[in-house]
Amino acid sequence: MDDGKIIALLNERSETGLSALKQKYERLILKVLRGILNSPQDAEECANDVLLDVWNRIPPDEPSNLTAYVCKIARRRSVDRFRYNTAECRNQALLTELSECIPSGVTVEEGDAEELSRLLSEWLNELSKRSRRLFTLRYFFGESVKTAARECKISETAASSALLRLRAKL
Amino acid sequence: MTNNSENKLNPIFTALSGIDDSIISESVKPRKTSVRLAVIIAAAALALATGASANLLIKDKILVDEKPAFELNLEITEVNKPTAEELENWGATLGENGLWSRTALPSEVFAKFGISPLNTDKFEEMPSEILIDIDDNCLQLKKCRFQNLAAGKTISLSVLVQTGEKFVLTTGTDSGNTPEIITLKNGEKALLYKYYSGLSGGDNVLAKFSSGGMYYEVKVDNSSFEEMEKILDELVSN
Repeated sequence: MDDGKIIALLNERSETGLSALKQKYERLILKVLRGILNSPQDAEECANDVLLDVWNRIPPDEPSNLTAYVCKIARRRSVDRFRYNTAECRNQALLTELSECIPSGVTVEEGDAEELSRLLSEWLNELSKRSRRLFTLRYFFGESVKTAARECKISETAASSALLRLRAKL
Repeated sequence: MTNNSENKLNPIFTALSGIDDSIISESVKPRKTSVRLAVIIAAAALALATGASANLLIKDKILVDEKPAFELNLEITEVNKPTAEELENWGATLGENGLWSRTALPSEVFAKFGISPLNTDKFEEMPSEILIDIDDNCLQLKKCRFQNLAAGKTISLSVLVQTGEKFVLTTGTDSGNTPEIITLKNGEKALLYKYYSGLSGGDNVLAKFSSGGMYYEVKVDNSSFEEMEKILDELVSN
């Protein structure tokens, strides 16, 4: 079912819409969650929360890009679970790598986080498509360097080097 | 063991959740081929088996802000896509910007990827550092340099070949410029626009157009729309 139809059904509060959403996006949601969380149970639970979130937000939300919308909700859910519960981050290296990009102890207020997201988007949009995809696969989706490298059709060594340079640039 | 108290302070980790939709979509692997496209590809495979052309004609509309728009005629085209190791052995290097590059004549690079863009009979190719951007859905070769013998001008050519089902092409132009759409000798439309360049000390002209199923950008320093139109007509002539 195409996204427009799913959104239309969700707007009508039709459970068919929810089923279609689950059928189409559950795998992607789990992929995002498993990239951040360690526990499969946590990921499963969060997946249901994500579907419920989408159900509760549409309407009034009218996402123009349902894939990205769902991914963002899934990632926020996984970060919340990681932050507030006892769940462990699946990939500690990912956070260690990102910690290189910012001075120790720096915190960001809620309003500033939006600005930082905007700045990150600007920075990412200035990169080549391959670099942008590599960075996003690694740090948004939490993919391993090996998987991100494979998806970008470069060697793992080249991906590690590219990510190192990107973090330095960031 | 995770250090939650430290991790929750990492603002980049959390702020990534709010990046642009387009960046996220670009990184999501496309779902299985849609039925419609699968049928088209099956038809293409059949055409190939029977010796007919395997190119698929797909029209993609370009919107340049709110300025005049026209359709590009792009075709999914098979190209050689060397592995990273093969590119390294060939002498290409991967730059910090994620692009491969190699100093070469354009024809050497075109041959490597198995493409035959435009008619460059009236142009003399020049060696230059050519940038190579490869992904699942396209191959782009940037900064291929030619000398136009008639005009005595150097042109910089970028060619984008659509190689996968997900169309990646989006474009735009500086809002301060006045684009002009012209019709080329081969019937294709081209968008031209002019901008001042401090580097060349004059007006550069950029043209964007499709021809033979591929997308091109041609830049000529210190030029005019009239001169660019002549150059493009030579490039698209049979």
